[in-house]
Amino acid sequence: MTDPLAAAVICFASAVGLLVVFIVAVRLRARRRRRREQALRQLYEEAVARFLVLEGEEPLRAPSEHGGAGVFRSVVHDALLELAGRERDRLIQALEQAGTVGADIADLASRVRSTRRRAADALAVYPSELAREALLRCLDDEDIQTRLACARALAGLRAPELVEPVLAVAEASVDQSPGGVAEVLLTLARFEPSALAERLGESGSPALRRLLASVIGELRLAEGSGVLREVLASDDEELVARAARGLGQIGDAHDAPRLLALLEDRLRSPFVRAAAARSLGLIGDPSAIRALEWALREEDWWLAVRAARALAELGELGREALERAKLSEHAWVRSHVAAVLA
Amino acid sequence: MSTRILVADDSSTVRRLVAARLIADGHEVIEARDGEEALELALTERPSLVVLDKVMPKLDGFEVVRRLRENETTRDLPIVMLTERGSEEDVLGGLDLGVDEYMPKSFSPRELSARVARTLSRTSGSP
Repeated sequence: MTDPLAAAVICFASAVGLLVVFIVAVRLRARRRRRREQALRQLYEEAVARFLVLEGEEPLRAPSEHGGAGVFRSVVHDALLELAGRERDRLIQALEQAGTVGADIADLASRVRSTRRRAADALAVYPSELAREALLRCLDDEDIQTRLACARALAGLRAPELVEPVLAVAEASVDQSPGGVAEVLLTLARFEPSALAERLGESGSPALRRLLASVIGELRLAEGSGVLREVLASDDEELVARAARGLGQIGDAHDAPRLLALLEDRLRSPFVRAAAARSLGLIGDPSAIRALEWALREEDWWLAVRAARALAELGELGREALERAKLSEHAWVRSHVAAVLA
Repeated sequence: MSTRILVADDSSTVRRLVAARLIADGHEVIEARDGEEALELALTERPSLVVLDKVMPKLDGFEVVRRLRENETTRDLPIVMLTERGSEEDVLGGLDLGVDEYMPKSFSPRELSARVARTLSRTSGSP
Protein backbone atom coordinates (compact mmCIF):
# COMPACT_ATOMS: atom_id res chain seq x y z
CA MET A 1 0.00 0.00 0.00
CA THR A 2 1.36 3.36 -0.96
CA ASP A 3 2.23 5.63 1.84
CA PRO A 4 -0.23 8.57 1.43
CA LEU A 5 2.32 11.04 2.76
CA ALA A 6 4.92 9.92 0.24
CA ALA A 7 2.32 10.16 -2.53
CA ALA A 8 1.40 13.67 -1.45
CA VAL A 9 5.04 14.72 -1.40
CA ILE A 10 5.61 13.26 -4.88
CA CYS A 11 2.53 15.07 -6.22
CA PHE A 12 3.59 18.30 -4.64
CA ALA A 13 7.15 18.00 -5.96
CA SER A 14 5.82 17.24 -9.45
CA ALA A 15 3.54 20.26 -9.35
CA VAL A 16 6.39 22.51 -8.24
CA GLY A 17 8.62 21.04 -10.92
CA LEU A 18 6.01 21.67 -13.61
CA LEU A 19 5.51 25.21 -12.36
CA VAL A 20 9.25 25.90 -12.49
CA VAL A 21 9.48 24.51 -16.02
CA PHE A 22 6.50 26.64 -17.05
CA ILE A 23 7.99 29.81 -15.56
CA VAL A 24 11.38 29.18 -17.17
CA ALA A 25 9.73 28.52 -20.54
CA VAL A 26 7.69 31.72 -20.31
CA ARG A 27 10.74 33.76 -19.36
CA LEU A 28 12.86 32.26 -22.12
CA ARG A 29 10.13 33.01 -24.61
CA ALA A 30 9.81 36.58 -23.37
CA ARG A 31 13.58 37.05 -23.58
CA ARG A 32 13.65 35.73 -27.16
CA ARG A 33 10.78 38.04 -28.08
CA ARG A 34 12.58 41.04 -26.55
CA ARG A 35 15.77 40.23 -28.46
CA ARG A 36 13.83 39.84 -31.70
CA GLU A 37 12.07 43.14 -31.09
CA GLN A 38 15.37 44.88 -30.33
CA ALA A 39 16.87 43.52 -33.54
CA LEU A 40 13.79 44.57 -35.52
CA ARG A 41 13.84 47.96 -33.87
CA GLN A 42 17.41 48.54 -34.95
CA LEU A 43 16.57 47.39 -38.48
CA TYR A 44 13.60 49.76 -38.78
CA GLU A 45 15.42 52.69 -37.21
CA GLU A 46 18.17 52.33 -39.81
CA ALA A 47 15.61 51.97 -42.60
CA VAL A 48 13.78 55.14 -41.51
CA ALA A 49 17.05 57.05 -41.14
CA ARG A 50 18.28 55.92 -44.60
CA PHE A 51 14.94 56.80 -46.15
CA LEU A 52 15.11 60.33 -44.76
CA VAL A 53 18.75 60.93 -45.58
CA LEU A 54 18.78 59.43 -49.06
CA GLU A 55 15.68 61.47 -50.06
CA GLY A 56 13.76 59.13 -52.26
CA GLU A 57 16.56 56.80 -53.32
CA GLU A 58 15.39 54.17 -50.90
CA PRO A 59 11.66 53.70 -50.33
CA LEU A 60 10.27 52.94 -46.90
CA ARG A 61 8.57 49.58 -46.94
CA ALA A 62 5.99 48.31 -44.51
CA PRO A 63 7.47 45.51 -42.39
CA SER A 64 6.97 41.96 -43.50
CA GLU A 65 8.73 40.29 -40.58
CA HIS A 66 6.65 38.38 -38.09
CA GLY A 67 5.73 40.66 -35.22
CA GLY A 68 7.27 43.62 -37.05
CA ALA A 69 4.19 45.79 -37.45
CA GLY A 70 4.05 46.84 -33.80
CA VAL A 71 7.79 47.54 -33.61
CA PHE A 72 7.71 49.48 -36.89
CA ARG A 73 4.83 51.59 -35.64
CA SER A 74 6.72 52.32 -32.41
CA VAL A 75 9.87 53.36 -34.33
CA VAL A 76 7.91 55.61 -36.67
CA HIS A 77 5.98 57.06 -33.74
CA ASP A 78 9.23 57.92 -31.93
CA ALA A 79 10.76 59.38 -35.09
CA LEU A 80 7.75 61.59 -35.79
CA LEU A 81 7.78 62.91 -32.23
CA GLU A 82 11.37 64.06 -32.75
CA LEU A 83 11.14 65.34 -36.33
CA ALA A 84 10.03 68.63 -37.76
CA GLY A 85 9.91 70.18 -41.21
CA ARG A 86 10.26 68.47 -44.53
CA GLU A 87 11.57 65.20 -43.14
CA ARG A 88 8.45 64.83 -41.01
CA ASP A 89 6.16 65.44 -43.97
CA ARG A 90 8.12 62.96 -46.10
CA LEU A 91 7.85 60.29 -43.45
CA ILE A 92 4.10 60.77 -43.22
CA GLN A 93 3.86 60.55 -47.00
CA ALA A 94 5.88 57.34 -46.96
CA LEU A 95 3.52 55.86 -44.36
CA GLU A 96 0.60 56.71 -46.62
CA GLN A 97 2.28 54.95 -49.55
CA ALA A 98 3.25 51.94 -47.44
CA GLY A 99 -0.35 51.44 -46.39
CA THR A 100 0.22 52.08 -42.68
CA VAL A 101 -2.11 55.06 -42.66
CA GLY A 102 -4.72 53.10 -44.59
CA ALA A 103 -4.59 50.30 -42.03
CA ASP A 104 -5.15 52.79 -39.21
CA ILE A 105 -8.04 54.40 -41.07
CA ALA A 106 -9.66 50.98 -41.42
CA ASP A 107 -9.10 50.34 -37.71
CA LEU A 108 -11.03 53.49 -36.85
CA ALA A 109 -14.12 51.58 -37.91
CA SER A 110 -13.32 48.58 -35.71
CA ARG A 111 -15.94 47.36 -33.29
CA VAL A 112 -13.26 46.94 -30.66
CA ARG A 113 -12.83 50.13 -28.67
CA SER A 114 -9.13 49.60 -27.90
CA THR A 115 -8.39 49.15 -31.62
CA ARG A 116 -10.18 52.37 -32.50
CA ARG A 117 -8.35 54.19 -29.73
CA ARG A 118 -4.95 52.87 -30.81
CA ALA A 119 -5.64 53.82 -34.43
CA ALA A 120 -6.78 57.33 -33.43
CA ASP A 121 -3.66 57.78 -31.27
CA ALA A 122 -1.46 56.68 -34.19
CA LEU A 123 -3.15 59.08 -36.60
CA ALA A 124 -2.66 61.86 -34.04
CA VAL A 125 1.10 61.23 -34.30
CA TYR A 126 1.13 61.16 -38.13
CA PRO A 127 -1.81 63.29 -39.18
CA SER A 128 -2.68 62.55 -42.77
CA GLU A 129 -5.17 64.16 -45.13
CA LEU A 130 -6.21 60.68 -46.23
CA ALA A 131 -7.70 60.17 -42.78
CA ARG A 132 -9.69 63.39 -42.65
CA GLU A 133 -13.16 61.97 -43.36
CA ALA A 134 -12.69 58.96 -41.09
CA LEU A 135 -11.42 61.21 -38.27
CA LEU A 136 -14.37 63.55 -38.63
CA ARG A 137 -16.77 60.60 -38.33
CA CYS A 138 -14.93 59.42 -35.22
CA LEU A 139 -15.56 62.70 -33.45
CA ASP A 140 -18.87 61.05 -32.50
CA ASP A 141 -17.22 57.92 -31.10
CA GLU A 142 -18.70 56.67 -27.84
CA ASP A 143 -15.21 56.52 -26.31
CA ILE A 144 -13.99 59.90 -25.12
CA GLN A 145 -10.28 59.10 -25.54
CA THR A 146 -10.87 58.09 -29.16
CA ARG A 147 -12.80 61.31 -29.78
CA LEU A 148 -9.98 63.38 -28.29
CA ALA A 149 -7.28 61.50 -30.23
CA CYS A 150 -9.25 62.14 -33.45
CA ALA A 151 -9.54 65.81 -32.51
CA ARG A 152 -5.77 65.93 -31.98
CA ALA A 153 -5.19 64.30 -35.34
CA LEU A 154 -7.52 66.77 -37.06
CA ALA A 155 -5.80 69.70 -35.31
CA GLY A 156 -2.52 68.43 -36.75
CA LEU A 157 -3.88 68.71 -40.30
CA ARG A 158 -3.56 72.49 -39.98
CA ALA A 159 -6.78 73.23 -41.80
CA PRO A 160 -8.71 76.31 -40.60
CA GLU A 161 -12.07 74.71 -41.41
CA LEU A 162 -11.33 71.93 -38.93
CA VAL A 163 -10.82 74.27 -35.97
CA GLU A 164 -14.53 74.50 -35.18
CA PRO A 165 -15.26 70.74 -34.98
CA VAL A 166 -12.05 70.24 -32.96
CA LEU A 167 -13.01 72.92 -30.45
CA ALA A 168 -16.55 71.55 -30.27
CA VAL A 169 -15.16 68.18 -29.13
CA ALA A 170 -12.86 69.97 -26.68
CA GLU A 171 -15.75 71.89 -25.17
CA ALA A 172 -17.91 68.78 -24.85
CA SER A 173 -15.09 66.79 -23.20
CA VAL A 174 -13.39 69.30 -20.92
CA ASP A 175 -15.24 68.32 -17.74
CA GLN A 176 -14.59 64.61 -18.19
CA SER A 177 -11.03 64.78 -19.48
CA PRO A 178 -9.33 68.15 -18.96
CA GLY A 179 -5.89 66.59 -19.56
CA GLY A 180 -6.97 65.14 -22.90
CA VAL A 181 -8.50 68.46 -23.92
CA ALA A 182 -5.29 70.25 -22.93
CA GLU A 183 -3.39 68.01 -25.36
CA VAL A 184 -5.84 68.91 -28.14
CA LEU A 185 -5.43 72.62 -27.42
CA LEU A 186 -1.65 72.31 -27.32
CA THR A 187 -1.71 70.64 -30.75
CA LEU A 188 -4.06 73.29 -32.11
CA ALA A 189 -1.88 76.04 -30.67
CA ARG A 190 1.09 74.86 -32.74
CA PHE A 191 -0.75 75.37 -36.00
CA GLU A 192 -3.65 77.77 -35.31
CA PRO A 193 -2.68 79.84 -32.24
CA SER A 194 -5.09 82.65 -33.05
CA ALA A 195 -7.99 80.17 -32.91
CA LEU A 196 -7.39 79.72 -29.19
CA ALA A 197 -7.44 83.45 -28.56
CA GLU A 198 -10.64 83.85 -30.58
CA ARG A 199 -12.40 81.08 -28.68
CA LEU A 200 -11.35 82.51 -25.33
CA GLY A 201 -12.92 85.80 -26.34
CA GLU A 202 -16.30 84.13 -26.91
CA SER A 203 -18.66 83.05 -24.21
CA GLY A 204 -18.87 79.33 -23.64
CA SER A 205 -17.86 76.62 -21.23
CA PRO A 206 -16.06 78.21 -18.25
CA ALA A 207 -13.86 75.12 -17.91
CA LEU A 208 -12.73 75.40 -21.55
CA ARG A 209 -12.07 79.11 -21.24
CA ARG A 210 -9.91 78.53 -18.17
CA LEU A 211 -7.93 75.86 -19.99
CA LEU A 212 -7.53 78.16 -23.02
CA ALA A 213 -6.16 80.92 -20.78
CA SER A 214 -3.68 78.48 -19.24
CA VAL A 215 -2.51 77.14 -22.61
CA ILE A 216 -2.08 80.63 -24.06
CA GLY A 217 0.00 81.60 -21.03
CA GLU A 218 2.08 78.42 -20.93
CA LEU A 219 2.92 78.70 -24.61
CA ARG A 220 3.47 82.46 -24.29
CA LEU A 221 1.27 83.13 -27.30
CA ALA A 222 1.62 86.86 -27.78
CA GLU A 223 -1.43 86.85 -30.07
CA GLY A 224 -3.44 85.89 -27.01
CA SER A 225 -2.37 88.87 -24.89
CA GLY A 226 -5.28 91.04 -26.00
CA VAL A 227 -7.95 88.57 -25.02
CA LEU A 228 -6.19 87.75 -21.72
CA ARG A 229 -6.37 91.45 -20.86
CA GLU A 230 -10.11 91.56 -21.68
CA VAL A 231 -10.71 88.50 -19.54
CA LEU A 232 -9.23 90.24 -16.46
CA ALA A 233 -12.59 91.98 -16.09
CA SER A 234 -14.47 88.66 -15.84
CA ASP A 235 -16.43 87.56 -12.77
CA ASP A 236 -14.89 84.10 -13.04
CA GLU A 237 -12.09 84.34 -10.47
CA GLU A 238 -10.35 81.19 -11.67
CA LEU A 239 -10.34 82.51 -15.23
CA VAL A 240 -9.00 85.88 -14.12
CA ALA A 241 -6.22 84.22 -12.11
CA ARG A 242 -5.15 82.14 -15.10
CA ALA A 243 -5.27 85.15 -17.40
CA ALA A 244 -3.14 87.14 -14.95
CA ARG A 245 -0.66 84.27 -14.76
CA GLY A 246 -0.63 84.04 -18.55
CA LEU A 247 0.18 87.74 -18.94
CA GLY A 248 3.10 87.27 -16.57
CA GLN A 249 4.36 84.33 -18.62
CA ILE A 250 4.07 86.32 -21.86
CA GLY A 251 6.00 89.04 -20.06
CA ASP A 252 4.89 92.24 -21.76
CA ALA A 253 5.90 95.15 -19.51
CA HIS A 254 2.85 97.13 -20.70
CA ASP A 255 0.67 94.78 -18.67
CA ALA A 256 2.28 95.74 -15.36
CA PRO A 257 -0.23 98.56 -14.58
CA ARG A 258 -3.18 96.19 -15.17
CA LEU A 259 -1.67 93.55 -12.95
CA LEU A 260 -0.85 96.15 -10.33
CA ALA A 261 -4.50 97.27 -10.31
CA LEU A 262 -5.53 93.64 -9.83
CA LEU A 263 -3.10 93.17 -6.94
CA GLU A 264 -4.40 96.30 -5.20
CA ASP A 265 -8.08 95.43 -5.73
CA ARG A 266 -9.13 94.13 -2.31
CA LEU A 267 -12.49 93.07 -3.69
CA ARG A 268 -10.72 90.36 -5.65
CA SER A 269 -9.99 87.00 -4.05
CA PRO A 270 -6.49 86.47 -2.58
CA PHE A 271 -5.99 83.76 -5.17
CA VAL A 272 -6.41 86.25 -8.02
CA ARG A 273 -4.25 88.85 -6.31
CA ALA A 274 -1.55 86.22 -5.71
CA ALA A 275 -1.52 85.41 -9.44
CA ALA A 276 -1.11 89.13 -10.19
CA ALA A 277 1.76 89.33 -7.68
CA ARG A 278 3.50 86.38 -9.28
CA SER A 279 3.17 87.90 -12.74
CA LEU A 280 4.53 91.25 -11.58
CA GLY A 281 7.62 89.37 -10.39
CA LEU A 282 7.95 87.67 -13.78
CA ILE A 283 7.57 90.95 -15.69
CA GLY A 284 10.07 92.63 -13.38
CA ASP A 285 8.61 96.11 -13.21
CA PRO A 286 10.02 97.95 -10.15
CA SER A 287 6.93 100.19 -9.98
CA ALA A 288 5.18 97.20 -8.35
CA ILE A 289 7.51 97.09 -5.34
CA ARG A 290 5.44 99.31 -3.08
CA ALA A 291 2.22 97.38 -3.74
CA LEU A 292 4.01 94.08 -3.22
CA GLU A 293 5.46 95.32 0.06
CA TRP A 294 1.91 96.10 1.21
CA ALA A 295 0.77 92.68 0.09
CA LEU A 296 3.35 91.10 2.43
CA ARG A 297 1.16 92.27 5.30
CA GLU A 298 -1.89 90.41 4.02
CA GLU A 299 -3.06 87.66 6.28
CA ASP A 300 -3.66 85.30 3.39
CA TRP A 301 -0.57 83.11 3.39
CA TRP A 302 -0.53 82.39 -0.36
CA LEU A 303 -0.84 86.04 -1.36
CA ALA A 304 1.89 87.13 1.07
CA VAL A 305 4.31 84.41 -0.05
CA ARG A 306 3.70 85.21 -3.70
CA ALA A 307 4.36 88.88 -2.99
CA ALA A 308 7.59 87.97 -1.19
CA ARG A 309 8.78 85.80 -4.07
CA ALA A 310 7.92 88.52 -6.58
CA LEU A 311 9.99 91.02 -4.58
CA ALA A 312 12.90 88.58 -4.61
CA GLU A 313 12.77 88.70 -8.43
CA LEU A 314 12.82 92.48 -8.60
CA GLY A 315 16.52 93.00 -8.11
CA GLU A 316 18.20 95.15 -5.50
CA LEU A 317 15.16 97.31 -4.73
CA GLY A 318 13.01 94.24 -4.22
CA ARG A 319 15.57 92.71 -1.86
CA GLU A 320 15.75 95.94 0.12
CA ALA A 321 11.98 95.81 0.54
CA LEU A 322 12.29 92.27 1.85
CA GLU A 323 15.03 93.31 4.29
CA ARG A 324 12.73 96.04 5.63
CA ALA A 325 9.92 93.50 5.99
CA LYS A 326 12.20 91.30 8.11
CA LEU A 327 11.86 93.96 10.80
CA SER A 328 8.06 93.97 10.65
CA GLU A 329 6.10 94.01 13.89
CA HIS A 330 3.95 91.17 12.50
CA ALA A 331 5.31 87.68 13.03
CA TRP A 332 3.63 86.24 9.95
CA VAL A 333 5.26 88.86 7.72
CA ARG A 334 8.69 88.01 9.15
CA SER A 335 8.09 84.29 8.59
CA HIS A 336 6.98 84.79 4.95
CA VAL A 337 10.08 86.81 4.23
CA ALA A 338 12.35 84.36 6.05
CA ALA A 339 10.97 81.50 3.93
CA VAL A 340 11.80 83.34 0.70
CA LEU A 341 15.21 84.62 1.78
CA ALA A 342 16.31 81.19 3.07
CA MET B 1 39.42 64.67 -43.88
CA SER B 2 36.31 63.48 -42.08
CA THR B 3 35.63 64.74 -38.60
CA ARG B 4 34.57 62.51 -35.76
CA ILE B 5 31.34 63.53 -34.07
CA LEU B 6 29.92 62.16 -30.83
CA VAL B 7 26.12 61.88 -30.72
CA ALA B 8 24.71 61.46 -27.22
CA ASP B 9 21.00 60.80 -26.70
CA ASP B 10 19.12 58.16 -24.73
CA SER B 11 16.71 57.65 -27.65
CA SER B 12 18.09 55.16 -30.16
CA THR B 13 15.75 56.63 -32.78
CA VAL B 14 17.25 60.08 -32.39
CA ARG B 15 20.79 58.70 -32.44
CA ARG B 16 20.05 56.79 -35.63
CA LEU B 17 18.46 59.80 -37.36
CA VAL B 18 21.26 62.15 -36.42
CA ALA B 19 24.03 59.62 -37.16
CA ALA B 20 22.61 58.82 -40.61
CA ARG B 21 22.49 62.50 -41.49
CA LEU B 22 26.02 63.20 -40.26
CA ILE B 23 27.46 60.10 -41.96
CA ALA B 24 25.83 61.20 -45.22
CA ASP B 25 27.62 64.52 -44.72
CA GLY B 26 30.92 62.66 -44.59
CA HIS B 27 31.54 62.57 -40.85
CA GLU B 28 32.50 59.65 -38.67
CA VAL B 29 29.99 59.14 -35.86
CA ILE B 30 30.27 57.54 -32.43
CA GLU B 31 27.23 57.17 -30.19
CA ALA B 32 26.52 57.38 -26.48
CA ARG B 33 23.33 56.28 -24.74
CA ASP B 34 23.64 58.30 -21.57
CA GLY B 35 25.57 61.14 -19.98
CA GLU B 36 28.24 58.98 -18.38
CA GLU B 37 29.03 57.20 -21.62
CA ALA B 38 29.06 60.56 -23.44
CA LEU B 39 31.62 61.95 -21.02
CA GLU B 40 33.80 58.85 -21.23
CA LEU B 41 33.77 58.79 -25.04
CA ALA B 42 34.42 62.52 -25.28
CA LEU B 43 37.56 62.05 -23.18
CA THR B 44 38.82 58.87 -24.83
CA GLU B 45 37.78 59.22 -28.47
CA ARG B 46 38.54 62.95 -28.85
CA PRO B 47 35.69 63.87 -31.18
CA SER B 48 35.75 67.17 -33.06
CA LEU B 49 32.23 68.03 -31.95
CA VAL B 50 29.51 66.70 -29.65
CA VAL B 51 25.76 66.63 -30.34
CA LEU B 52 24.26 66.29 -26.89
CA ASP B 53 20.73 65.84 -25.61
CA LYS B 54 19.82 67.89 -22.56
CA VAL B 55 17.79 65.18 -20.84
CA MET B 56 19.67 61.91 -20.38
CA PRO B 57 19.98 59.25 -17.70
CA LYS B 58 22.94 58.98 -15.31
CA LEU B 59 24.30 62.46 -16.14
CA ASP B 60 22.18 65.12 -17.79
CA GLY B 61 23.43 67.23 -20.67
CA PHE B 62 24.26 70.26 -18.54
CA GLU B 63 26.43 68.22 -16.19
CA VAL B 64 28.26 66.70 -19.15
CA VAL B 65 28.93 70.18 -20.54
CA ARG B 66 30.12 71.39 -17.16
CA ARG B 67 32.61 68.54 -16.80
CA LEU B 68 33.85 68.88 -20.36
CA ARG B 69 34.48 72.58 -19.83
CA GLU B 70 36.36 71.87 -16.60
CA ASN B 71 38.72 69.45 -18.34
CA GLU B 72 41.68 71.03 -20.10
CA THR B 73 41.59 68.64 -23.06
CA THR B 74 37.89 69.23 -23.77
CA ARG B 75 37.47 72.82 -22.63
CA ASP B 76 37.11 74.10 -26.19
CA LEU B 77 35.24 71.11 -27.62
CA PRO B 78 32.35 72.44 -29.75
CA ILE B 79 28.96 71.35 -28.41
CA VAL B 80 25.55 71.42 -30.09
CA MET B 81 22.78 70.81 -27.59
CA LEU B 82 19.33 69.37 -28.32
CA THR B 83 16.85 71.13 -26.07
CA GLU B 84 13.13 71.02 -25.35
CA ARG B 85 11.19 73.35 -27.61
CA GLY B 86 10.37 76.66 -25.95
CA SER B 87 12.61 76.05 -22.98
CA GLU B 88 14.22 79.38 -22.31
CA GLU B 89 15.81 77.90 -19.17
CA ASP B 90 17.62 75.27 -21.25
CA VAL B 91 19.01 77.86 -23.63
CA LEU B 92 20.06 80.30 -20.92
CA GLY B 93 21.56 77.57 -18.77
CA GLY B 94 23.53 76.24 -21.70
CA LEU B 95 24.77 79.69 -22.70
CA ASP B 96 26.14 80.12 -19.19
CA LEU B 97 28.02 76.84 -19.48
CA GLY B 98 29.41 77.57 -22.93
CA VAL B 99 27.28 75.52 -25.33
CA ASP B 100 28.06 76.64 -28.88
CA GLU B 101 24.81 75.97 -30.69
CA TYR B 102 21.22 74.87 -29.99
CA MET B 103 18.70 72.75 -31.75
CA PRO B 104 15.23 72.65 -30.20
CA LYS B 105 13.31 69.39 -30.48
CA SER B 106 11.35 68.55 -32.64
CA PHE B 107 14.12 69.12 -35.15
CA SER B 108 14.94 68.78 -38.80
CA PRO B 109 18.05 66.62 -39.37
CA ARG B 110 18.93 68.85 -42.34
CA GLU B 111 18.88 71.91 -40.14
CA LEU B 112 20.94 70.11 -37.50
CA SER B 113 23.44 69.21 -40.20
CA ALA B 114 23.72 72.88 -41.18
CA ARG B 115 24.23 73.94 -37.57
CA VAL B 116 26.91 71.31 -37.07
CA ALA B 117 28.71 72.49 -40.21
CA ARG B 118 28.48 76.10 -39.12
CA THR B 119 29.79 75.30 -35.64
CA LEU B 120 32.68 73.27 -37.01
CA SER B 121 33.69 75.99 -39.43
CA ARG B 122 33.35 78.70 -36.78
CA THR B 123 35.38 76.88 -34.16
CA SER B 124 38.07 75.78 -36.58
CA GLY B 125 38.67 79.41 -37.48
CA SER B 126 37.60 79.04 -41.12
CA PRO B 127 35.72 81.99 -42.65
